[in-house]
Amino acid sequence: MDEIERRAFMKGAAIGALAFTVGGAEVMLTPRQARAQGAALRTLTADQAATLEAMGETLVPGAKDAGITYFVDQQISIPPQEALLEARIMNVKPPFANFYRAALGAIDGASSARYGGRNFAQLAANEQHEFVDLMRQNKLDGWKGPAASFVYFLLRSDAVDVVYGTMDGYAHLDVPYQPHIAPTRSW
Amino acid sequence: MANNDKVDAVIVGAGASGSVFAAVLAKAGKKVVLLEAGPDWQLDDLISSDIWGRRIKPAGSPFLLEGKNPYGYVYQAGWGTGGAALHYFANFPRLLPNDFKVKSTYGKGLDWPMDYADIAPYWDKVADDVGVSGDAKAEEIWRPTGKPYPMPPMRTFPGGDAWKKGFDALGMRLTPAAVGINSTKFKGRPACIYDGWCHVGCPIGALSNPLVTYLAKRDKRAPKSAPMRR
Repeated sequence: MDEIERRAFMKGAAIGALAFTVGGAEVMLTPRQARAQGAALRTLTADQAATLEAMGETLVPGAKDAGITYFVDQQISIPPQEALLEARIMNVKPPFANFYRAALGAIDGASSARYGGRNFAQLAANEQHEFVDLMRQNKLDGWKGPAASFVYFLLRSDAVDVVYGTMDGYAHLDVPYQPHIAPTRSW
Repeated sequence: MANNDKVDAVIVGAGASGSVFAAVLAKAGKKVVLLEAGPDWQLDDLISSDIWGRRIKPAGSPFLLEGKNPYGYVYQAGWGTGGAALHYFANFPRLLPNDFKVKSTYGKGLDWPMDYADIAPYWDKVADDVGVSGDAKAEEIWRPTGKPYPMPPMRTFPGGDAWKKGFDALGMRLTPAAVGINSTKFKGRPACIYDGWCHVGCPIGALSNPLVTYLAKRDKRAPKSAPMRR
């Protein structure tokens, strides 16, 4: 990350938004806005993004529109010491992109092996739920990557972050936010 | 570093321990340099958000976990000025007299080379330094008589009240926890407003983090950071 990008990020930290690239320009957006405006992905491939989005939505409904893919993609593209990911406090070794690549690859590898060559995003809803139930118990054959239950835990945490961890999420749960210092935007 | 000036003490780590050593030495007239690998956090960095609050948790190489039941440590740890004491719940329990004599009393572990009476004056001193709220008199059912805490206990809420009711019904005593949080104004710092964001840092200084206690008078003219390689 060059110095200009870094400054943009730190400014974002102050106002509660993250730096995304839309139409070649750097803009400060929430992950939900980044998805709605079609921001460019920085690190994840289209297939990885589709897998993450489908998994996030399966784990926590609403995570797709809340921009889980854009949140994670932006966060694994910045220096780890600036990252806000749950992975940071779960002793995952930086760069965090390596963990997500391995995790998403393991999901699609196991999905493909179990469901006739189909990636997780291509599964029917009932198959996705079955897959997740096995994943959380480390019972998927052909799983190659970080422990499945740990992947389940971390991706669920990311999904909870974008859906419920924000000021909007608290409001949705009817829990008073009561901040000392609030992000000036509700994300 | 910015220069090669000689100092009396170099302390590595500006957290719960390093901040106390630095302040005590500096107050005694010693010239102290406090080294810290993380950012020089200020109170207004402590944003009330579970997501943004992760910035004050460690970053970098992971901890090496070993043993039969390795347990992650990063969530409880800190980095930068204040260390883990920037985002703790400020519980200040004391050991009990028999904790110092477990070998001679129970045949387990080791006895300490000091006893409760030796260390109690220092607990009292720290309580006065950082501000502790609690009910010392109520604690005397299990510890010796001592100085009162500088502030009365924190208020209780329905969850705690329910526990108290259950304990009372069983004839058991439950006392307010001693915490390094202001139940009243203390040394120019405001009282707690009970909004529940202790775990991501208290920017009003009602919770006794090192930024408002032992490091409050540090020389901020010093270089904020210097490149550090591991």
